[in-house]
Amino acid sequence: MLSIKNLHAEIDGKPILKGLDLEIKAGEVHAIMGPNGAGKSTLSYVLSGRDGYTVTEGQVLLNGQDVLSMKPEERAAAGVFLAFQYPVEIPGVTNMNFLKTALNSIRKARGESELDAMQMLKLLRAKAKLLGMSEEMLKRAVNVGFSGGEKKRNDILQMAVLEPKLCVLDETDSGLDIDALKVVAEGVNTLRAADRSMLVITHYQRLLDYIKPDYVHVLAYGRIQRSGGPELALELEAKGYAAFAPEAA
Amino acid sequence: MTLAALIERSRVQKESWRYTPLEKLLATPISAPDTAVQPLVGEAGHPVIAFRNGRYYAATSRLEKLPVGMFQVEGDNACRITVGGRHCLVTTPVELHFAYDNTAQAEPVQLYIELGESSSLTLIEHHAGSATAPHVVEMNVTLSAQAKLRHSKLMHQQAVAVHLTRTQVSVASGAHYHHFALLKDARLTRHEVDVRLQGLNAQCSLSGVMLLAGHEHGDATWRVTHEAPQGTSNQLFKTILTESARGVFQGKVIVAPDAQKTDSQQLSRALLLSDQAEMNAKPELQIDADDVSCSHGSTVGDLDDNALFYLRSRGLSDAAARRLLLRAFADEVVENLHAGEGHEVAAALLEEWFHENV
Repeated sequence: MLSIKNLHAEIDGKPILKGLDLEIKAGEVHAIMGPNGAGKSTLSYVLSGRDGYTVTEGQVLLNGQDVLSMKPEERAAAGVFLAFQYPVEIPGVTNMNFLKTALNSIRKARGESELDAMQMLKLLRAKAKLLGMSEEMLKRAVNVGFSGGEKKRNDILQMAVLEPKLCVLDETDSGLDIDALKVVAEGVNTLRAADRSMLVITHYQRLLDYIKPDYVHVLAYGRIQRSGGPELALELEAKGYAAFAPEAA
Repeated sequence: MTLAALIERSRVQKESWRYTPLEKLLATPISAPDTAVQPLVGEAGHPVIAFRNGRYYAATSRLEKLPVGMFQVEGDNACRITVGGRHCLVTTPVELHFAYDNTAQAEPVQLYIELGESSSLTLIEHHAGSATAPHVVEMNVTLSAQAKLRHSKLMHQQAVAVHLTRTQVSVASGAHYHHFALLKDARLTRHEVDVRLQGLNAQCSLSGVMLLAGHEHGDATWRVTHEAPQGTSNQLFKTILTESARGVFQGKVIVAPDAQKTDSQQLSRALLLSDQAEMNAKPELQIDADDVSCSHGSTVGDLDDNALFYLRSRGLSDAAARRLLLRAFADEVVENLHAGEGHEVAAALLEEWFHENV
């Protein structure tokens, strides 16, 4: 599904990722853990195509397609989805209109027919229901006045509607209390599927109690320092990140 | 008001025309466009008062649904709309069509609009044309006590036009003047509104969206004078500029010594979509009373990069994301229009402009 090879990336000439390798197969959930400044957010932005991040070396393939040569919207159509650490407020644009425009843009890019207003409404209602969200939320402006938990759930709703192949969850737990975290994790778990891979980026082990990963990787100093099963997260929690400095690895 | 008189006024009132040097701007030679302009069509059921090149034009007017005596032509270029008597409510919106082509010299139009006590009227102005000569329209509006006028103005295609208008409004006790303007597609626009709140509890709300592209120059100069106590005024103006366009918003609020308990708000926001575009915003407050609540704000910026990336990461193209954000920016103003006041037309004109320019 996703193959990252020797990825180097920099911001304003400062190298952040220094030779990152990662393979994720269809249906797998991988967690990337790492200390602040390790390059976690850089990885999520490089995968989703944000301006300001320069890839100097390496390759990212999604089902054989070269992701790095695509614009953000082309990546979305190819199946990349980033759940933001801080979902953005868009005043004046309703969730309904946003989801409709997004889904039809992606369907069009994939050569599928656009959905009409009735089909769209039916689909959005069904997806909201699947995630236990009220229809009222569809009528509100995107993330405006939403609590931290509501914003994250709104991103998960977008994920449910757009049905991506690769979901990158960037620090989904930040700014959430434990109840909100459970609800958001439940939403993510609902969307686990055999043909969908997930990359969960997090600072704390806590999130992984609710979204159970198949593999855990430690990202530090711009590279994956160690990989293992879920037990690696517990080891990290016990020892801290200091043990994973490159010279110690 | 003839063009010569207007030019003379711009010479005398230098400060008010500082950012819009009329003579200089008019001196730029232009040629008429080769594209035909869509004729204006009134909404079914709406009475239409039509002008062609500044003269009343009976052929495309539809007066049969207007109350008898409400509309009079006075001379070649002056007309009067009178909603007489007390409690006279004209429930169907009346459309004013101003069309210009190059078949005749454009003449200045003078309109007098008078609303009697507790009467109400909705007026929708449509402007379109391909003429290169300046379009000059002057309106004098008088609202008696408790009268209500909802007045919107929409500019259609008229890329070479010079559009110079001034609306002077006097608002008596308890009366309400509501104005919306969509200003676009003219190489030079000057939209002046001058409102005097003369009676207790008089109100006005002025709102507008200005869209400027190419080398267009657009200027909205608004003045609200609170002359009596407990008046309320609201100004909301938004400008979107691309390419080498220049925009001007001058919003002035004057509160006279007697106008205690005045409540006045003004906000101007502009988005510059290119490095060459320029916006001049000049809010002015002159307050001579001590018990008032007045606020004003002005921002000039670009679209939010975070929002753009968020939308693109969900599959919208860069242009589609920009259009969605711009539409939301303009909608905050356009929402002030009720259905039947040209809301749908305004929405369509916005979309058309965004598709051509973004």
